[in-house]
Amino acid sequence: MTDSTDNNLAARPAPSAVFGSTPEPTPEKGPEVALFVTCLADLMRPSVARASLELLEAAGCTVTIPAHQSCCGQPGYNSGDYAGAMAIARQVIETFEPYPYTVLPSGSCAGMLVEHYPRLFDGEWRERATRFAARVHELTSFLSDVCDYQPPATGSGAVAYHDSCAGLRELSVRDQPRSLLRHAGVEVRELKQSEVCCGFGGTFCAKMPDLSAAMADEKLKDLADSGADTLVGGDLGCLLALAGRARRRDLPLHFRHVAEVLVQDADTPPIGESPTS
Amino acid sequence: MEQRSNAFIELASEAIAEPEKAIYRSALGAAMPPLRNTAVAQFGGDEAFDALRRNVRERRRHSTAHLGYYLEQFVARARENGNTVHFARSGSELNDHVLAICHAAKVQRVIKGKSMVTEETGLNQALADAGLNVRETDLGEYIIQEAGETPSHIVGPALHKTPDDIRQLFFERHDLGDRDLDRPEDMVAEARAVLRQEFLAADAGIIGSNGLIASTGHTMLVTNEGNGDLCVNLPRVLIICTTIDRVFPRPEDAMAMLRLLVRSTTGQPVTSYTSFYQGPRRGDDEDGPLETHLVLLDNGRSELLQGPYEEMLQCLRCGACLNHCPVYMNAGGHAYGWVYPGPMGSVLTPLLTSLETSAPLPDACTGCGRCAEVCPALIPLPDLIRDLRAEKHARGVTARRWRLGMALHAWLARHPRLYQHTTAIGIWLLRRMAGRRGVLKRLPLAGGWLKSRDLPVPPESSFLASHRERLS
Amino acid sequence: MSRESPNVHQAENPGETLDDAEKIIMARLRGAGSRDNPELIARQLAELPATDAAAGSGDVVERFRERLINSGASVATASDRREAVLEISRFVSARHAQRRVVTGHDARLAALPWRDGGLLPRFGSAADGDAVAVSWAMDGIAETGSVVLWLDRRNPALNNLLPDDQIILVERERIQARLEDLWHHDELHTGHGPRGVMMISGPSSTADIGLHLVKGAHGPRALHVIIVGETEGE
Repeated sequence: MTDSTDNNLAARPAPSAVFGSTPEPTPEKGPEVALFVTCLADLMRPSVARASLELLEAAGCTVTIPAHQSCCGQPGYNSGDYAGAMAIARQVIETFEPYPYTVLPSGSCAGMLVEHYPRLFDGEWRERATRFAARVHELTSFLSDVCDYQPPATGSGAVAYHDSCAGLRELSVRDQPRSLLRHAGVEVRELKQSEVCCGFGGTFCAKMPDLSAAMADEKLKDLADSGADTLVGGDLGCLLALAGRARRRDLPLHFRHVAEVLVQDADTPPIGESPTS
Repeated sequence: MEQRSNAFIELASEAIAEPEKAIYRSALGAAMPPLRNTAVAQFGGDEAFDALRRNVRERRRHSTAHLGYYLEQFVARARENGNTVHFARSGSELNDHVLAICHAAKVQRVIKGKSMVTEETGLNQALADAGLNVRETDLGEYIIQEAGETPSHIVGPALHKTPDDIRQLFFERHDLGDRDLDRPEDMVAEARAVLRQEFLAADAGIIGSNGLIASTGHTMLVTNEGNGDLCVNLPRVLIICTTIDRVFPRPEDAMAMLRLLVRSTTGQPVTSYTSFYQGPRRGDDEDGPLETHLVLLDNGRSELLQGPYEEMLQCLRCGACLNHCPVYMNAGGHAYGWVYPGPMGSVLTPLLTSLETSAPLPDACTGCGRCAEVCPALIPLPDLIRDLRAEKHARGVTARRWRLGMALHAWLARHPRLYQHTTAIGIWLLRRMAGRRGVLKRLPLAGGWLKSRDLPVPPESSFLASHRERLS
Repeated sequence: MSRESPNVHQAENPGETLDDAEKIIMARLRGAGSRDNPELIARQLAELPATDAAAGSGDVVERFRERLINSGASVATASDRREAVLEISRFVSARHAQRRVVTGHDARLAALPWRDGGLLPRFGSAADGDAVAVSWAMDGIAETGSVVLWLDRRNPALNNLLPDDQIILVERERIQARLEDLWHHDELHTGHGPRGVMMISGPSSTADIGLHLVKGAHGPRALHVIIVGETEGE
């Protein structure tokens, strides 16, 4: 069809198309990656950061963890504090820009850097943010799409997969984590309403707790109906909120980040469960 | 219409607390998600759907950019065609026009087609106050008029009512003795018979419009029931109430929009009736209205032109964003406290009323992005909702403790070392309070989270703190 | 951005009347569209890309029939006017215990051999209680499975709305591919054609009670379309 050349809806171009100098990963020397741990993984779930590091190294990457990192600025951004978010964005860009790739174990944080940082700025900074965005990846899509990594098939059991909205819609992360899990020998069950939000929504869950819980309950029911007792996802926000709701209701359901499952971290108890429970 | 949007959280909680209603809503919700797939499949896949959305957006952008030009053209054509055209700046001006028309034409009985615009202006009340008899004829609108309620959905106004509710209502409101109303078919047949008499007795019909065609002066009407067409063609007076932003340059632009509108509204390729009316009875016509009026409402829309929310003027009122919004499905349409619920309502309500009287609405969104995915008009609803939060933040409508909290967070996030120290103290405190449990159940300042869920307890040491040797 | 007092109308300046609203709104709109040079606008409009969406492929008549059936209508074919009358008769007999139909003052309808089908036509506008209307469509639209009726003396609007059932005849060669095609008549672009155009694609229906689809909400419970004309190759 003859149509305008609007590409707002087009898939994000491959990094090399936008950023000609992006080094292609080669077997001799893997991609150089900066790991943005993300604040939830850092504080609430270090095992996710450890697993991310392990997976990236197993995929042949040279991983750097910049010390000068904290939060991507999502809470403020989504609450309408654009000025605060801009200040954080500038700092994140300055810190991570020198590395060929920036990888985050979170769809929503990666989406913040990729989709929303450029939106925050005009002019030169917008161009800079756009160039940077082309080199930012969510963990599972980076392992699959850029590294072509296949984990050893030593896993077992069945899990259901939770698509976080930002990963799914902003970054088209859908098949990559499922494919990695299957390669690892884990059976992946589908939720009936896999495209429906779990009700976390950042500050939403604190501002509107009843609505958030109602949405979480639908997700938990969907999980129970899937026959799997463990929900695996790529975003700690959703997982912490769902685990918190399941604990409150004493439901026998478990929650883990996909990176932990891929490295088969059996030492760390599922989210919201104590080592003895 | 009286606004209660500031009570969103309480109204939503009340809706959730009614389990039967919540189950009914979620059953409706489960029926809705295939809608998008149906629509997309009918166009031959995502690519074709997106191509058409972009095409229609170009047409709508063009008409919005030259709205004054096209509206003037439309009004001139409509007058040449024998219509009387009125302008209304506010809801009450619209109501005044309609009342004046009714008085002049000695109208006593009015029948109405579904019109969100007249919900916005509270026309029914104004007509009733003036002693006129007003009857809604869209089945959904009829049901809520009989129940004394307001619409919960812009396309299916009575979707919040279960078939049982409606059966009960009909038994109460229709004095028709002992009868069988078990099936929806029975209830529809009963409403048809009752409303047929109302149609035949009416002096004036009032409808809305799905689009105005500038080059020909036609107004477009899209329905499945045919009630709107009866309102047009039976009474001697016709009054079309619509807004200034509904103009399309040519018929072909309206046709392109129509394809998107209907598929996004109901998943059908077309509704049973799509009509284009140009004016009153002509020549040797045997039926049709003797006098036709158009009332064009602004009510804040012209102020959106060339502003940051101009894209909202592209909204087709299809309801797809409601049908795909998990917040809407759980809160129900009434929680939004005004005419327009769901994502489009969370943007439109603050713009057409005020941010101060609808402060919770921009927060009634998890940012999941599903509305933008399904919107046939490609309106970036989550971005507009977030921009409204930014206005709330900037204008001090957001609670002070949230604003201070965000400012503190942003400052700390820019000082990673201090951030790490502060969070380490926080972790230590949380762990002390949690004791041996894996979760926290009570915590000062975290009432929102802890109201409905436990908080998983963080481990002793953060990743960055325990991997100092790996950091660069 | 937002206004102080929505829906609370006061004359914005004392002495203003409702009649001033047009001047004020139009002035505001013209102010917003400062580039309202008609020639430039016309050029931009002409440059807007066309859409070939829903052009579809294959036989238009077949598509027309399929879509109508999907929308809850029934479809029959008749090779000539006599067959059309027999088809009308079959439909009326199957659903009604009487033989009366109401039709507009359309020369094509007047010329039908009604007696061959034992039917009693009344020419004019439908009234409450009419069981069956018979109409002759201007065009058919394959894309949506719609028949297009011009609202004038030949096709009073009420004939589409008041009767229990509606039968619409459409000539095979009048079935067009796309929605835009219904506008390919000069009369629709002047003020001298029909006062309205109705595109009918199925029986009157509603899903307002529990999303359960019910036919016959206010208008016809059944829509029967008869495609009239020789099929190609016959």
